[in-house]
Amino acid sequence: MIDYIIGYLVTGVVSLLIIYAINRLDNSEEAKDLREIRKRIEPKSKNLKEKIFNDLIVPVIALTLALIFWPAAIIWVIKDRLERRAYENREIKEPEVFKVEKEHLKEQVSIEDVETLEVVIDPLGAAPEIPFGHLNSAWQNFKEKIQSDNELWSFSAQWTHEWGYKEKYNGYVLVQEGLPTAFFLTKIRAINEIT
Amino acid sequence: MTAQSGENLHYEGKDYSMCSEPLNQYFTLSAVMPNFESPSTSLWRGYVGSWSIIENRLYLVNLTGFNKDGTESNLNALFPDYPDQVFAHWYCGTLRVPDGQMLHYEHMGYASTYERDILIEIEQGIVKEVNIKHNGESDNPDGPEGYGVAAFTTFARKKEVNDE
Repeated sequence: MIDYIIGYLVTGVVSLLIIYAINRLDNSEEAKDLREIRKRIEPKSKNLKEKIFNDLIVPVIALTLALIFWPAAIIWVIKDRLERRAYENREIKEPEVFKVEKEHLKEQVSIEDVETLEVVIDPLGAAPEIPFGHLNSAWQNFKEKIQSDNELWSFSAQWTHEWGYKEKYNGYVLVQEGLPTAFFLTKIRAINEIT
Repeated sequence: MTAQSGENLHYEGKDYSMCSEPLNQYFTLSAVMPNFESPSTSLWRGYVGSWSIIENRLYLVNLTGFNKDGTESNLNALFPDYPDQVFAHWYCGTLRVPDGQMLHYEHMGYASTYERDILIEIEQGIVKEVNIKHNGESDNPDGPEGYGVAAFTTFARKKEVNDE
């Protein structure tokens, strides 16, 4: 019986020494950060009583517990390594970006019709009386993308933001050979707002 | 996220602090990204706008924006030809305007609740509908009225100096 206990404890000591060595040799950024954090939060002993408690009693208790429960420490270390490796090898998914699809198209329009329809009129004169008012510059930038073989269509689409909330987008889009390309957003409306 | 300072709104003769940010849609639609930075944890957007509803239309009447170079922007910086007021024709949504006493404080975003929410539905800058949502009654008659933030951390701001 004693032999088994000694064997268990010796195996524990060897295993803990190996784990200690691996951690000390770990040069990953995460390990360095953890060591830095430990250094900063470790309480500084103010008197002899505290020094004995922090530097002797606590480590002895910790070591004793580690020796008794060393299999749990091994399992924890293996699990931690596997999780870290899985995290480092994870596939980083780029967030989806909104684009207009064919099913969002509403009707074909002309630039002249759009610019007549979208003139902003304000009785207080607090917006320029031109197509899209304060957004006119963005509209001019969009028009510069129009090529001779493009069609101009209006569109309406529902989009789920990467943070989970839904919005309705309206605007105009260039269609080339039947496929939507560059678009100009004119309206964003949150869906399921507070009512 | 810390509770956020609201935008100012003047509506039917009263001043409120509202839990909506109509300028965000302008930045998205115009693809204009301002050079603002957060001066504190309660103002992550880096600006405070003052709005007014005049004859059922939403106007931006003032703006204080905190620039990354340490200076401040006003309405004129964003809308050069409209220094006094800007018609917010780009905005579609519901303005949430807390009213009455606070029922429950939540130190996160605009999550605190108040006795009432005035919900002003706006379509292309024009008020379409106004509803009042009743959330309960406060059991503290001396409690604070209107939306507010309990605490925040201010960041040091450096003003860039150009050597000549």
